[in-house]
Formats: sequence, structure tokens, C-alpha cells
Amino acid sequence: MRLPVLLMLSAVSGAAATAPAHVMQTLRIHPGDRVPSTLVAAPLPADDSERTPLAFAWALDPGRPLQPPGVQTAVSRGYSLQVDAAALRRGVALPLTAAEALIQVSPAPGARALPGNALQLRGATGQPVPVRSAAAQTLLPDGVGVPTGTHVLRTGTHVAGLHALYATPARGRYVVQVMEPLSPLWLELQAPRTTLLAGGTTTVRARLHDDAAASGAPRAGVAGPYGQALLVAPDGRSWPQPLHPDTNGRLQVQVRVPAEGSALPGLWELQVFTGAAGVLRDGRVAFAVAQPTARLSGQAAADPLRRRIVLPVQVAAPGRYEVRGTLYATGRDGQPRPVAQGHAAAWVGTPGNTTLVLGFGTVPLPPGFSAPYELRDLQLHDQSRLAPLESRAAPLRF
Amino acid sequence: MRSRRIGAGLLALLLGTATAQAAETWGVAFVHGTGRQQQADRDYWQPMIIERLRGGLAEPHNVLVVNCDFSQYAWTPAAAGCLAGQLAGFIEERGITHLAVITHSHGGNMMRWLLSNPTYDRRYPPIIQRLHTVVALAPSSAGTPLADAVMDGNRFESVLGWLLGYRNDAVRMQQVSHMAVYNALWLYGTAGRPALPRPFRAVVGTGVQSAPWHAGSACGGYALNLGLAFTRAWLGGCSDGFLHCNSQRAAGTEWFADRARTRGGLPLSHNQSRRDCFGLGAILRETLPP
Repeated sequence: MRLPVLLMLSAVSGAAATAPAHVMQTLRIHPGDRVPSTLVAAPLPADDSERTPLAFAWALDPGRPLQPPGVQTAVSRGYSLQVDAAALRRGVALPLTAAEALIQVSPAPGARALPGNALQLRGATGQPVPVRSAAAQTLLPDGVGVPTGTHVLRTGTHVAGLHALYATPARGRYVVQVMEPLSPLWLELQAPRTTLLAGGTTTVRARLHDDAAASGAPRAGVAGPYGQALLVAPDGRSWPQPLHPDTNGRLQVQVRVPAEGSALPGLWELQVFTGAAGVLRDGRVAFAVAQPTARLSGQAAADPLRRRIVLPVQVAAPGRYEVRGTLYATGRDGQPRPVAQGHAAAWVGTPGNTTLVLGFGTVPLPPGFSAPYELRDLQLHDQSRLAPLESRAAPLRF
Repeated sequence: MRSRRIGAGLLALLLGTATAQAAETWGVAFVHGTGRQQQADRDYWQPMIIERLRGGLAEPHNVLVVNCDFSQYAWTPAAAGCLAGQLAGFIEERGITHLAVITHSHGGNMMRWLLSNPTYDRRYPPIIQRLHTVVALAPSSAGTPLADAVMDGNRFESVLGWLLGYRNDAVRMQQVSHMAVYNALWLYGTAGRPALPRPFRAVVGTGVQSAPWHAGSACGGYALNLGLAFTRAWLGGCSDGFLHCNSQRAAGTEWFADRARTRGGLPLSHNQSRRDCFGLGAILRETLPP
């Protein structure tokens, strides 16, 4: 069903908003909400933030329910190795667990670009394994880009097992990446949060699955997973993170993000490198890290007639700040359903208290919907630093 | 007398309708994928598909082929800022009231950034107001493992860290784990998230035809199709050689999967979905009013 979309563009002076004379309500907190306890005066990155206050709202289909993001899950059937030229001349051990594996060999800066025919894969008996080879630059779309001299080998239907990769003319360092899309052995990573405040912690769990074991044919020797992890910031800094086994045969890592965060935008990664009796698996999960430069005061004034919510905000650092949320209205069956999405942003040049106003009044309600309303998935963002500061699942009913 | 009143009413209705249609000024914009483009009409899209859409416009000059630096993060001035500037300028210069945007690959993410963050830049809301539809050809809405492969190949550090010897933030963004976070926090239109304020209709490429004797392998360049056939192995299952079908379907709605509409029921590889292969250009003209 295509809904009419009605847009609202209005100039809202965040600092000088005249709030309607409605009673302030306390915003509810639910388990899982992210609310900064302290604020920091983080430096402002490149000063190209929009200065014009903006507000915008559009209709949602009440027949299309929304769901909060769940646990982030990543699956991997591959691994990477860093090798030097001497290792490639001796032969780099590559455990393979399935047919049709892909092996990518990328030279580090300064390393010799290897011709495709310089790479040779041998099986456990030392016999060469027939492979198809291609230069990676011919495989990937324009603009994606790979280091010059990167090659991809593709094995055929031969038997899996321990292989060795050779490159006699190698010089320098290389990354060897193995991808086994048909492997029954896969790494699952679970991260409960997509966002952390700087200085915060989260627990990531890693589990090696063996589909062959699940089908009743357990793989001999696959036991006791081990591994290490690395927390990587957008600016390239990294911190080793110890992996610990739990009682269920899984590994877990308690990640603590440094309080200073990162000056560069982008996502942080937790890279996990695991193995178990001849099987190697690497994976990664990503998440956003925010330095808490502002927070909602915890109060709001809601006008149900105009469907407008005034949100006081405490700001510790100059920047552009945005609130966004989903308006739920009550249908004829008495159930709340999403009817509109709204955003409002303004530049705050001086730290202190300000207000942002979420307005849904220009978005027509669907037939049969009315008050009482709920504001859900309320978020506060620092647009200047691309940081999701605060989130509240269901803070307000009016 | 009654028939005269009915006739007059019908005439008024027809005139009113004609007036409304006359007030509509349609335009088409092409938004390329990852990378920096300076002549995307020639290098990225090639003229044929552009001319197919141009032929469907009442005013054939109302075509914009965007050229921006989509190797940067989506929100940067060189990326979304450039995109907004070119779209806004086009709308104003041509008096566009109804804009159809055709994107390819990461270009779909670029439009979703603009649509999902309307208060980020004052140019975004007027663009959204005039935007009729986004047709996303093979959008990388959930990323691709091939982006992970590219980034893995660029990670060098003595303690398995990250040496910034090669930067392509757009590729970094399109890693599967990264797009999961962007979709959860900053991009709308995926399952369980608020819908985008304008229709986002995906065209899904489901395969790669690389047999040299098959006519379907030549369109767009045989060598490129051969490469995509190789990378399909990386993805497994349904893919266009660069993107899994599930990634292409992850945001908005699916308009059609290639074989359902293309001439001969042929698949569109990731390279072919930006070209006028197998009648794609004629199909895209359905986006415009008849």
C-alpha cells in the first residue's frame, strides 16, 4: 500500500524554541536504553556541520510493524594469514575443509607483485593441486580497488585437507585470505550492541559450528577452540583482547572501548581469530562508539493536539544535535501502531541547555487512528561527530 | 440540460487533469556506485541506457548524470554533499517537480543516506520533496563479503592490526558487518526499520552469464562478466557476481528480479545492471509517466 507522504520543513530555532505551556513529563527508562551518565567536551571535527535548524517528518504504514535491532550476528567461513616471502618460498600451510575454496594473495606495500602463475597450491602428498587463477583487479567492479598484484585462486572439487601455498618469487610481506563458502565449519560471532559509549563495555561471543557434527557425523579432532581478538579503532589503533572459553564450548571476549574514543569517524571493529584442531576461522563485528557530548534532560513536554514534543537537551560541546523518533497512535482495536517518523536538528554553538522539538502535526493520521500516542525509539545523535548518543525504546506516552 | 452539465463537468475534469499534468516537470538523475567519477555518462553508465530514459521525458534535457567521489564515507562533503549539490542544482535549474533517480550498487546507499537523514543538510528536504522514486539497480544494501575481502587484503600490522596503506572508505562501509550497523543506526528501509520517505525499488541481479557462446555474456563486456562469474563462488547461491541477492533485496521493495522482465529472461550481472542490456533501459522508462 502506497501511503501519501507529507513532508514538513520548518525552521526551528533550537536554542530559542518557545515551548508550549504543557507539563513536563519524565521520560521512562527501559532495560537496554542507552543514557549517558556523564558528558565530555569532545573536540569538534572539521567544521562543516549544517547550521540551519531543520525538522522533517513523514508517514509510516501502521500495517508494517517495527522491531528494535536484535543481537548482531556475523558468520565466517574464512581466515587470513600474514606471511613473509620466506614462508611463501617454504610453503605456507593452508588447512582447507571443503571444495571450491578461494585463496586471495595480496602484497603489502613494497612487496613484489606476484604474477598469477607464480602461485602454486600443493596437497598433503606434495602434488600440485589444479586451480583457476585470476588477477583480482579483473574481478571486482571499478572503484572497489585492490592492491596491485592481488591474485585469487579457486580450487576445484578435490579433497579437503592440509595444503601448502608456494610463491617462489615472493619478496616482502603478503596477506593470504582463504574463503570456503561450502565449508560445514563456520564461525558465529554475536554482539549484543551496535553502539557503545566511549569507555563502555560489551561482551562478544564466538562459537565454532560444525554442520557435519550436527548431522550426526562428528568431525574427529575438532575440539577445544582457541583464539585471540583485536579491537580496532577507525584511526587504525588496536588493542589485543583476550578470548576466554565459557562452559558451553564457546569463547567470549569482554570488550572495553577506550574513554578517549577516536578522532576519526567510522566504525570500530572487533576482529576475532580462532581455530580448533586444524580449522582456522576469522570474523569481525562492527559497532559505533560515541563520546557522550550531550544527553536528553530526561523530561519532555508533549502536546497531543499538535502532536509535538519538546525535548530539553544538555550539551557539553559545540556541534549539531538531532533527535529522532517514531510516533505511535492508537487504532480502533486499541493497539498502538507506528504512524510517523520525525527528525529535528539544530546547531548548538555554546555548551549548555537547549531544546529540540519533534513535530508530527503535519503528517495526517491514518483513518481510525488517534490519541493516546506513544513516542518510541527516541534517539539523540551528535551529527557533527556522527555519534549516536542516547536511545530510549519507549520513553513517552501522551 | 443535464447532459450539458455533465459534459461541462467532464471537460472541467479533463482540463483540470491536463493542467495538473502540465504543471509536472519530470527529470531523471543517474547516481553511480563506488568510486570517483568525472564522466560517469561515458565511463560508468555508457550512453545507451541514458538515452533510453531521455527518450521517455517530455523535456529531453532534464537528465542529470551525477559525478561525485563515492570512495569517501557516505556523509562526507565529497560524497553526499556533492550528490545533494548536483541534485539540488538540477532541480532548481530545470524546475523539476518530479524526480526519478536511477542508482547502481553503492549509489543506492548514497540515496538512502540522503533519505534517512533529512536534517543533516538543508539541501536534503527540498530534494526529498521532489523525489518521486528511487530505482536502485543492484543496490549493496546489506554490503558484500567481497568488500570484506578487499579490506582484509589491506590489513597489515605486526600485531594483526590495521595499516592505513590504502583507503577506500566506501568499500570499508560496504563490508557486511559495517552495513549491518549503518542499517541499524543511520539508514532506513530494511526489515523492521522505519520505511524511507520515498519509494526505493530494487532491481535484483540473480546471475552471471559467462559462456562465450552465449549472447548474454557479451553485453557490458565479456571480460567483466567472466570475472564476475569467478567471484560468484565467493558468494554462493543467488548473486550477480558482486552482491548476494539478499543484499540487493535488503532495503525498500523489490521491483523485479532480472529474469522476470529482461529480454530472453537473461540474468543481469553486476556490470550489466548499469547498462542497457536485455531491454533494461526500456523497462526503466516505466518509471516515467507515459
